[in-house]
Amino acid sequence: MFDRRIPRAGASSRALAGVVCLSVLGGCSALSGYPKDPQNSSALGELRDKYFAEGIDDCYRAGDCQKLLNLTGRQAIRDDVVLNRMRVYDMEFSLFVRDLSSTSNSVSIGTDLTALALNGLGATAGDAATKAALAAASGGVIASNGAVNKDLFYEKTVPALVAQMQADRLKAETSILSALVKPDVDYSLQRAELDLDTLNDAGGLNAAVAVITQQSSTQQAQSQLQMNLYQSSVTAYTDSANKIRTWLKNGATLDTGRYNQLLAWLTNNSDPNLHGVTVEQLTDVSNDSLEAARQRAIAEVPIK
Amino acid sequence: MPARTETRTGVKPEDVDTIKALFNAQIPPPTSVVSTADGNGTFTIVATWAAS
Repeated sequence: MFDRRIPRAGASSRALAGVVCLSVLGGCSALSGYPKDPQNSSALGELRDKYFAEGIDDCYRAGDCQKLLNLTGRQAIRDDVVLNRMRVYDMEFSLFVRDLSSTSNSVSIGTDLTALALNGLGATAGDAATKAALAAASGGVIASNGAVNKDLFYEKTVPALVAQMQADRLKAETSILSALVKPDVDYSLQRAELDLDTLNDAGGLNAAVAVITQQSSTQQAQSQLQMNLYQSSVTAYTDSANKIRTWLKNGATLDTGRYNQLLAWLTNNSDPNLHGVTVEQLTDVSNDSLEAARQRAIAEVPIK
Repeated sequence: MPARTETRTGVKPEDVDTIKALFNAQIPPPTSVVSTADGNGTFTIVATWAAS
């Protein structure tokens, strides 16, 4: 499947990509869609060597890392090690995202992504940003023959996965930063290392796909439950239901223009739970959440 | 999609045609929308979609 950390293209494909970059664009930054990193290219290696050195745990336990880090005191050492390891993971993640976003990788891992992510597309997925990106990804599927345009699919799917990885990393980083205010006795370096492992894993494709798939399944189940609730109902005769029904009738049976206006409000609603709800359900179903939606519709459409 | 039905009970007579029209306006439209008197001066409306 995927390497959890930085995927590396083969030497030949890297060389080919380099030739393409140099001959066509004069550099690879335009292909990844990211500006060139101003940081010295050796900074990552230096940080990694320094803060992942073998003797770190021992000198931390002794409370004296004068030789390795020019620091003494367990808490000072812990804070320095944890923050700099977080920085290393940030830099690695940045490189990973740039690598993912470069066109040279679309062929090598696009197939795997397509197979994994297509499974999540049948359901409504994730938050608004993820959903929008995955919806755009469906444009990569050519309906007429069922074939998949892997390049297009990859290009549109990566932003959704990156957004999920960033959200997962932010959660892990917040957890670590809030724990660092504790004294060393309550949050040791060894404990922090467990959280750092979580941070590292949060920047992986497998975790992102798993979260998106889980969100899809959960939301699909919730939507199904909601739809079942709406299938059989006593007709609502609250003030808001009466008002909407009277407005829809507009002196006759049904005003099509007003029906479409209310349908558009539902379809484009900021509350994703209203997507898929019909105008009939909104108007007629006795249900607390739909009653709240009716009151919102009266204010927002507006219905007078 | 499997066949499904939606049912509204306690519909006042003056709203029967509007609720039937609201069902029929959906895409896809139901294959049938039937209203029956429930004996209490109100109606029950059942919309049915065939399996597709």
